[in-house]
Amino acid sequence: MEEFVRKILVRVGINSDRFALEWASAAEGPRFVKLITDFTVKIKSLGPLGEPGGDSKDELLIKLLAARNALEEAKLRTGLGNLTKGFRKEGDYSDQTIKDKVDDKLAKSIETEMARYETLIRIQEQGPISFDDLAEKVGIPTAEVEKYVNAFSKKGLVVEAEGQLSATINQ
Amino acid sequence: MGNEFNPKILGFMCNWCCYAAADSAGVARYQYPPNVRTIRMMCTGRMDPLFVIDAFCVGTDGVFVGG
Amino acid sequence: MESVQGEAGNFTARVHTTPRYINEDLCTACGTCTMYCPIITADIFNEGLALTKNLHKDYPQAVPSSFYIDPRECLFVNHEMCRICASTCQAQAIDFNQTEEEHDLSVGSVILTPGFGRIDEEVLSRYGFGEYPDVVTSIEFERLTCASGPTEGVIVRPSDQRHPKRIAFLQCIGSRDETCGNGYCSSVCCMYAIKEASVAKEHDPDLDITIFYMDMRTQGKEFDASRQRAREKYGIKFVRSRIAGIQEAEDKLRISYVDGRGIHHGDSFDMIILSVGLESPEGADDLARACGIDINKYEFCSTKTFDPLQTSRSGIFVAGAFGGPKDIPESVTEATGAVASVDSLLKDARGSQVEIKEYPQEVAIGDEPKIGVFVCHCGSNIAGVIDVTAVREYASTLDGVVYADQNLYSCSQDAQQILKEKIKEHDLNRVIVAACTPRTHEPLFQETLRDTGLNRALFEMVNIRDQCSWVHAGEPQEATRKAKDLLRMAVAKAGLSQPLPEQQIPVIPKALVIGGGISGMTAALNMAEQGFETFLIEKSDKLGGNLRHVSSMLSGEDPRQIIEEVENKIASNDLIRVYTEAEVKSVSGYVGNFTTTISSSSGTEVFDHGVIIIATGGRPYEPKQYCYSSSRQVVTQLELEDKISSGALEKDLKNVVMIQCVGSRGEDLSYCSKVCCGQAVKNALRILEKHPNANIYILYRDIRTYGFMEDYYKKAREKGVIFVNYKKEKPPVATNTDGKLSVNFFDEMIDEDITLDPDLLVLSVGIVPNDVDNLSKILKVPVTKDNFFLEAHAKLRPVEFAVDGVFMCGLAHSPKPVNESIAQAKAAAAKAALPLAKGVVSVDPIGSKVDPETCIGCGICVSLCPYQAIQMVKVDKKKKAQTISASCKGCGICASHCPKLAISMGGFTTEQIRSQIKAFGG
Repeated sequence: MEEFVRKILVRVGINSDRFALEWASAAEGPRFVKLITDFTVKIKSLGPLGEPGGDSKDELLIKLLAARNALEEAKLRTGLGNLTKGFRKEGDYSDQTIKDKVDDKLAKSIETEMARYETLIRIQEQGPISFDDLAEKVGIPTAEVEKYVNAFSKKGLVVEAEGQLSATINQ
Repeated sequence: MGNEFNPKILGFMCNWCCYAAADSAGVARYQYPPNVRTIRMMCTGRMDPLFVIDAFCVGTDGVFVGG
Repeated sequence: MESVQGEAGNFTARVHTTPRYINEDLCTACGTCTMYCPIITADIFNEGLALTKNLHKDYPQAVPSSFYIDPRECLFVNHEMCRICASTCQAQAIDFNQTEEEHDLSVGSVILTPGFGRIDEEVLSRYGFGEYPDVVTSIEFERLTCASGPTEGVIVRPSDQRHPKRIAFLQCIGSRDETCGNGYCSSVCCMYAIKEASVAKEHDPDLDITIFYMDMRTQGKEFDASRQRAREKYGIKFVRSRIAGIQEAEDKLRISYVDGRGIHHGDSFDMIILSVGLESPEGADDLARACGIDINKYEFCSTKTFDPLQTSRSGIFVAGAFGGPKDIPESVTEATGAVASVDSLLKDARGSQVEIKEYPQEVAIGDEPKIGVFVCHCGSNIAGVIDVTAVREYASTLDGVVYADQNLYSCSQDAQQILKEKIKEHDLNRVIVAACTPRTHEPLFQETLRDTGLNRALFEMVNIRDQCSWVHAGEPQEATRKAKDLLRMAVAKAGLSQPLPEQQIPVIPKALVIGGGISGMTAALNMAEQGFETFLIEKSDKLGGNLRHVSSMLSGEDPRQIIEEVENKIASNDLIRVYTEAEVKSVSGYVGNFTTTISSSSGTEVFDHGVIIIATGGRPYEPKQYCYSSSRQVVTQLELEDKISSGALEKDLKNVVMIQCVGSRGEDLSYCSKVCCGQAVKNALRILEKHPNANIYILYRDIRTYGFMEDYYKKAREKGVIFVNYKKEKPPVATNTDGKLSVNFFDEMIDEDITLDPDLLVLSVGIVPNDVDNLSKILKVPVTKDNFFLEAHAKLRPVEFAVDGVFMCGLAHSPKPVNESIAQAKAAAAKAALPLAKGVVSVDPIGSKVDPETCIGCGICVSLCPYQAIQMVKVDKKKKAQTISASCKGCGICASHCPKLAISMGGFTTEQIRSQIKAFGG
């Protein structure tokens, strides 16, 4: 889960240090205090989300919404489920193994799923918009945009008029 | 404004571990920064990646999961 | 305990109590009093390494969760002045009128668990303790390495608070030492020294640590693996030598020691840890007198090998270190096992003093949330920091909130009454209390809700004390803001709360015990004595298992006689059905409702039962080493026992060599088999009884005669048995040349190879678990890499699995001597009897629920569930996941990994959590 979330955050453009997974037992009050204090200090040093130098807040939100849509759907979730199942079976939970497996099994679908939903959200938020503009903004080849748009058109989510794409109903 | 940046942090805590540790930190009156808002869960196994993204969508500056 | 009158089943126990000067029932554990107590005193819980207030609680998790006043230094108790605490306690819990009291308790049985005592300081002073501040006990060191200890886990020398660079552990302080009257081995110190050393290395990887020991007695389950890790991963050094004394040299501590070859060495350390042993508990003789029980010469409780939890007085049982030094898992096991003994003794009284509370019929809640919010002042604990009125006013502005109030103590009796009235008056259908932690107080408020006919799932708690006012005391504005945010999130969640059914699933009050050795027999007999029908199945053609091949115990007791006794009891108990030549074919179901098919000598049988106890046992390792197959002079210890008891030993027996750890500890088996050292000592002594002039050599790696077995080891040495240490890298060699057997080994002491031509070469072979591959698959329970069953928690849940309703005992769990197997069998029976005695499994409403409409039957949840609490079922020919409510623990891993978000968790649904997150955003 941890590595998977980090991958998605990086793809969205959020410093993955903004996400921490730590352990403290019920008896470890002092440890908890240290973890929380250190994490707060770290976040303070990172500055507000959408910090200068990174994407603007609006851009970040589009990618976040894409990630949210992707995570609400079965494809990535199935990937994560199967991967976790694999770890359970092998009994190997070393950081390296997890990293390798996530890279190997999930990195690609994170890319494509995120791109797919980003395409849709940009049409909804920024349409009417041309194929090429969309491709540039999402950062994928136009051919790929066409592939996604075709699928969205079939579902009736997107319409094309004079090379400009817009959403049928703004969700 | 000129104020120091005061981050919003969302915490997801396991009832039996970190949430309990946080309670015992309270009993001992340890002091720590007041930035975290906690959502209690029965186990970090409940932690869905979706929740992390949701949190960033509503503008959290950091997400802390405590198992 | 002052006296125990009467007899088993009907005792009067007179108990003397001293006052704590704080009424536990009134104390809210807020801790205000401790802040005002003016007396600062040594913190005894932290071994005097820190200071605490005289009015205090030993540690945050102490039970009862209430403070106490130590009368020795209290100004009021001694001088009738101060009483500041009493005026600060808003709950009025401080009561200086408390006096010493006598209570006569009417009980059916008594279990003695006084634990162990401390090694006398005079003994410690021989090692410079008290004189040199940097000589500390292992218990002090334990506190130093503890994250919640006096230094928060930072290791410093008491003398100058600097970080030590070199640390030595000295083993056997106050143990295996006749000069202080403790001839026994304390059993736990080797392992805890390794643990403490490893923890210290984790804190500070540059530490240089040496452990000086006599024998490294890491005989427990997986303990040898820890020792290996300590050496290989942490670089901890082990030196076999007993240290006589310590001198100070500048700011270091100097020790001299003699190695295995008799060469003298000297070394300096910054800090020395004395691995102190386990003494009999303080006042053991008084307790023994009060209870009318026997204690042994070391003042531990006397027990018998085959009845390890029974004291010399019927109806009085013992558990833990009072029955002899032992580690945590064995102590927990014994405590649970003692309960089984009590269960069978008092079975007729079970449930006779239980009052069942009746609740009113649940009311239907309307569609619209009507949320009531109650904000607690907790005296000044919350209100002293947080602006409670502002929080209450803020609450009333939130969507769905129809009523908001504030109370001085929301948990008080009258506040509960107000809560009930307001629920009725405003027709509330959700209730939120913003106060302390749900971990302690949620049940109280849920109870109040149930009293008004509201389902307890409609309650939500906001923690604005333990995790807010207490920890942000200097930032009242921020704390108030945080309280408002948390409340807003809780209101969002509560709006989506739904009543959750209080389910109870009936249990079939029968048990299945798999394996008919002494463990399985003991477990089955106890279940039947508790009144439950029990199926006992055994793979071979008769009961008794390995114990049938043992002819005498170290203590002199006859195991065959015991087997016969237990067998007769089983045969005459109508509730037990024994199946021999039997095997489990399939098992389906879950806790309370299993269906099992077996094949046996009497054909195939199917039966329903509520619980399963695994006692599949083990068998001796079959050696290929040391000419076992080529020479008739080479036998195993069990074969030797047979020879001894049948009088088949050669009349002119002169030389006997025994080799320890054959197959064990890194040969074919990675672990220590725990019983072989005691067995070798026993058989050596038995040979000497018949052949007093025989020369017996025992070649060993570490002699592990832990606990009181040490006495027999000592006796064997006194009688002339020669113990020679060998290293794993240089094991003895046996050769069989034309029927002439000889053994060659290296004796480090004299630095020479020795060759002997023994009449008998006895191999102390290890224990191999019986093949359980199939069974572990059928029951879906895990095994270790060594094929022993893997318990739910190595220390605290030693007979349970993560899966409910399945338990284990005996050699199936790990190698162990028969007394430990019997205690464990009883423990398994006690645990197994719980659901059977209750008659129902109460389902916690926080469990998971699968929406069959959305489920696509992918099965990910089934394979991820750690408790085997989800199964696949066919609905309209489609595979769907379904929660087995009786087994679900509510961890939510199924829900968080469901591709279709089809699984909801009671009280923690995806919608609820997402609404909390949304509310967090503002």
